[in-house]
Amino acid sequence: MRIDKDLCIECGECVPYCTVGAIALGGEGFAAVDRDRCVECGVCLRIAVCSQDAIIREELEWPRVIRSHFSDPTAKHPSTGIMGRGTMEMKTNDVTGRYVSGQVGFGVELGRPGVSTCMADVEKVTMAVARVGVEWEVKGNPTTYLMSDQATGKLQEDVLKERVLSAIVEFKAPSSSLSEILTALKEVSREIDTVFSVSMITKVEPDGSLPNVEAAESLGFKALPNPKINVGLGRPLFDFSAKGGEVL
Amino acid sequence: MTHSLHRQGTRESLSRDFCVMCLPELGYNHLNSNQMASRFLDIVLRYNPANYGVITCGNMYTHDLETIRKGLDQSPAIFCVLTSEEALEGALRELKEQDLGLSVVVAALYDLVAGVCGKVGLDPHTVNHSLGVWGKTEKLPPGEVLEITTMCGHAQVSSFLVESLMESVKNGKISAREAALQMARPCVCGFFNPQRAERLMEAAGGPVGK
Repeated sequence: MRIDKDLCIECGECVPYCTVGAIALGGEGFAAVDRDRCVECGVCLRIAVCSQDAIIREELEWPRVIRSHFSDPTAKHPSTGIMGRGTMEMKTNDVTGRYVSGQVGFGVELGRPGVSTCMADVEKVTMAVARVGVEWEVKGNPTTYLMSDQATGKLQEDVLKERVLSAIVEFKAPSSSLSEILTALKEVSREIDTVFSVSMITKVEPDGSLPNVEAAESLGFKALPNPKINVGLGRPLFDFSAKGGEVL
Repeated sequence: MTHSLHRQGTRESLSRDFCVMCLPELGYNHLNSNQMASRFLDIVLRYNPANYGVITCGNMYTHDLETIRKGLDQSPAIFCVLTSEEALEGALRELKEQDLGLSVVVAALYDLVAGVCGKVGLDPHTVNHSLGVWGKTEKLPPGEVLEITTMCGHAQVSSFLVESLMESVKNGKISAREAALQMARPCVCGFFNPQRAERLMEAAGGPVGK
């Protein structure tokens, strides 16, 4: 994004809307966008707060364009063809059977909530998780598409300096790997210059129990009381008995 | 993505905050899913949602109902916020009866949702829990700001905007209701709950972060 200095009247209305604090009044009669900090989320433009139409969306080239792909929820990822930073994950598990008993799913969202992240920090997490050995969510996850080597979790070199509002690292593994994954995430969380929000997916057992939650809490990790719950109304309903709860 | 997850707040505050979404999966049940999503919208509208929206256009505070409904033609996933267990029960009961065929997901306090599911005859199928925020948490804004900004999982509601509007409310320049409606505008999907934001601002006493 940029601000046309000839149109800007330095009213400052746009400044607080910037999700990462990249817009400032420069003391020269116009507001300016810090291009290094700007994640191209488009909120300043979309919310139409500028009475002078001074905010301009620039044509973005690779690799800067990934800022928009990961930060603007109305932008469609060219790699996945869908909007948003993640996939349908457990939201449609009742029809896809993506997660079965004996598995744990994870979504590790770098930069959330509201801090933003550079892709080099995303790579630290993907590489830490890859060392454990996981199955990446390939279909529809834009972070996976940026990997140059899924075995090591290495990302493409040319994107590492880009900043995005958030990026989700999505994967699943046997539930027996839960402790190792959480330990790896805890260790890498000390090496990054941002935050990440961790989400953990569990297929509910027929008796209503949540084995992954119980295991995580026994290891000292606290699950918040307000999860996301698929209530099983999707059709055709996936036949979990046919899969036998077998870990993929 | 996980845009309904990771909301922060007290149990009392979260007990009137039920994110509900309805989504197809490409290759499984996406055919005519825009029509099913439109029926979902008709159902939840009977339960006075605090917000609803479609990512392709925006939420009820930025777009009218018919524009949002047309947005389902481009993206047949719809999102709303209900504000009571009774509303959730009524909506889930109708959704079960109408059998739209799309996946329905609720993000809220687990015990409350499980209780409502029991009354309606549904069972929680798959659950996604937040394990919190890790890393350089010193970079986060104050807790009372996070309780508001985390209602927009896409992080389109800036902490700077929330802090600025909270100050304006405390200084008597605008009402908590006016501030909450301004905060709701950047949230494109409609999961931001302005009623809860209003209550949080009214409850906040002193200066932000103190």
